[in-house]
Amino acid sequence: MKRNFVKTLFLFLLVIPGIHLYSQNTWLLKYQFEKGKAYDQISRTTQDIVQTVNGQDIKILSEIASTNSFQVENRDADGNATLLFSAQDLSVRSAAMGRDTTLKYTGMKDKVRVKLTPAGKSLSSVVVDSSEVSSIVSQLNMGDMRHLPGKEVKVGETWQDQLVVNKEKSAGSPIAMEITTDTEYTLKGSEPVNGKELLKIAFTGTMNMKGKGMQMGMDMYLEGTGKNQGFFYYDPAAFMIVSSEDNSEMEISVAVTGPQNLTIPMTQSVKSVTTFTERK
Amino acid sequence: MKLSVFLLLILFIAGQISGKNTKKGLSVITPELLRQHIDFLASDSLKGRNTPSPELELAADYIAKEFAALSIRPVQNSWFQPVPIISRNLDIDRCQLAITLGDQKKNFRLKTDYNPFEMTADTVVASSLVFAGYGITAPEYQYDDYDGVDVRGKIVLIMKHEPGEKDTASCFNGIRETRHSQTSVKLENAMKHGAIGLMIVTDPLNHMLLNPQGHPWPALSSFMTQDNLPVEMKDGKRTIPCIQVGETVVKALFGSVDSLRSIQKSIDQSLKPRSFEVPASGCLLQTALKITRYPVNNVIGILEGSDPVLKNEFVVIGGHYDHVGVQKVQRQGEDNIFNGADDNASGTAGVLAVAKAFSAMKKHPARSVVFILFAGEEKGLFGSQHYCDHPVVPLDKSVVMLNLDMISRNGSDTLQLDGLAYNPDLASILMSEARKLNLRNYPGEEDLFKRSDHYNFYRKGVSAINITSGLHSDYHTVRDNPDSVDPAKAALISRLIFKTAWKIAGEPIYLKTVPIR
Repeated sequence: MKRNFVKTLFLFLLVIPGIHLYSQNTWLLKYQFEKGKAYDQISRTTQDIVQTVNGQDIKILSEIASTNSFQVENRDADGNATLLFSAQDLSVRSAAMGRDTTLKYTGMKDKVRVKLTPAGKSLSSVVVDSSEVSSIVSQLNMGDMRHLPGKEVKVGETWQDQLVVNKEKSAGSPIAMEITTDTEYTLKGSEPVNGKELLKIAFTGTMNMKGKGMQMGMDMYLEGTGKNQGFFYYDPAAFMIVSSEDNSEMEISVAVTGPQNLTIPMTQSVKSVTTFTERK
Repeated sequence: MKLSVFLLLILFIAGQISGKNTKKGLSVITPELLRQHIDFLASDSLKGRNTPSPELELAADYIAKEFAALSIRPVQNSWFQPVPIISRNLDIDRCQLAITLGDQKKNFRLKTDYNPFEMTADTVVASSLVFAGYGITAPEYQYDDYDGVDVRGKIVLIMKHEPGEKDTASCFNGIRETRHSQTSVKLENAMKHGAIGLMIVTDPLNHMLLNPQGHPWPALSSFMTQDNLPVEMKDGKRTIPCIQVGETVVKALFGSVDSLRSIQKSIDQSLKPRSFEVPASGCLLQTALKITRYPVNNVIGILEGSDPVLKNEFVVIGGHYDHVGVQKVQRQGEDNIFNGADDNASGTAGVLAVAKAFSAMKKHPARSVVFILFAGEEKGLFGSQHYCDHPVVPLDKSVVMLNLDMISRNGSDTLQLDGLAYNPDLASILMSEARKLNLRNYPGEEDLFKRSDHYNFYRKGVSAINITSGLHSDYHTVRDNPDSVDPAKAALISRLIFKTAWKIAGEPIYLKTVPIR
């Protein structure tokens, strides 16, 4: 009898923390980077672009696979972290009009230093080093982390976030753009993923884009709207995102005026999958 | 042996006579003459000779006056061949879409509910509605959305893209598109099946956005200026009203987007059509256009041949006289005029100089020579395309087309001939003459062969080569000014053209072409 009681008590002790874990309803969602830690960021983005020029649809498929890493250089008293992102490997494959092209770069030296709030919002971003492929690297948006609410959130709770990004003209893009993204996030709950209990956060959003630029003496204007949806996993123990998947679609109108007048409708579908792994 | 020596002697004398003959013509092709034409055509007052523009008309008048001063004649009393250049904008007040289901009629709003594609017709149609899947007929995949439905005289609703668009194993070339996914191909297929109107919706299974994107018409845009209209050549092709519809139309016809999604899923899985006539439906669809026509002309003159038989065969010498106009937004203190001195005031000057050289000759050559300055090259080879569709002399009697496009840059002795491989006989004559003038040949890049007016002649079976001094860093910039050209170089290349054309025009030489692989 005595033995049985001890066994029951042992089981009870095991179950209680389990129930507690399962029933935890509120989670603190923020980044808490630790100085000295380093992470690998592996991304794979597939893009499907259709442009209609003179009544003909031109489809461009591309796949960008990149490996970046970042080092946590500092975290101040407010929790703002300074991270040094380094591009490492990049592979760009594109297929259009019957031609396949693959470009591969290894041992790249592009580096960006960013300062992020605990919510993942950028306070500053400085290019530390660049290379001949910086125009491609700039499209990887190195240093952009998915935003978190930076506070405690209940399972099922939603929160909104607006992000306005101003992209300057660059060698890779002759158009300066303002992209406004309105996103609604929902904390879905916790799930076991690869042996770890992670929080799943789903999101849906709308995007609006406008831009202006000049190339080869022609003025270019751009306007677009889109939607996106996806999810990411957050490790509450490490205060860090583990992986994310983002699907977006945009419809864009491009007007070119000057030596040539053109109006080009464009659709763009993008799927992006990213994983973060701490370097041990 | 004696006979051979005699023949050689005759040929030598003939060559000497021929050489002496061309001397007179060659003597009028001077750098000063080329400079005079280039300075006028590429002056700021001609504002870059855009197609269309009043300044392009001034350039055409200048060319016609130059022709009139020579011993060449116009065609049917006119130096000008009109080229039907138009631009099209949407007439938003006359567009309408109304759908009736039973006794319920719903009017839809332009831009938010539907939007015409650029290839739409300027007309109104009314009929019942037929849903025809993806609107694809692809016998190679044993797939036909029109199988089992009669769309003759009806308005058809179809989805964008093709079955299994995101499926790597799709018989429609996996995730790559086939030609069947092209909107223009779907329109053509609908018309082939007798449809009188076409509505296209984004397929909802693989896409989140069901906006009626259609075409970005300036008339519907808040960010485009109303003059942001591309010019095009009126092709006279029949078309029908063709619009993209959005979610509101899908909901009106299918009840929900999910209903259409499940139909699409079923088509994708079975590759069997799920087309049907929408019961008790009626549709009124009008797409209206505001079409602007522009006065644009090719300028043509003919020097009649001297041989009673061979004068009915023609040597064509041409080039484009248009350029790209001005940069609309002028930054303070910056030049905004694309003068196009090399591109292609130089080639135009070259054609005028060669025409003068032929006129200066005592006797006309056996064959007739046609001089053509084309408009609209920079907008898509429009002038030469129109000429080749409506030639003033038969194309099958046109033995050669020599095109001059950018002939005044890149050193004093360089030459680029685009299309050597496709015109071996002509290439041989041109290169032989070029060597005599100490012009070194640099083979052209293959893709340049399709980028000037000679290509439209080649497509029609005429041996045609582009003669140029090649691209340079001022190409299509405001720096292509008269002071950056070398008139002596332009004169040298013009002499090459004159000598080559004189040779071909004087003898019954027939030049073979080789098709592009």
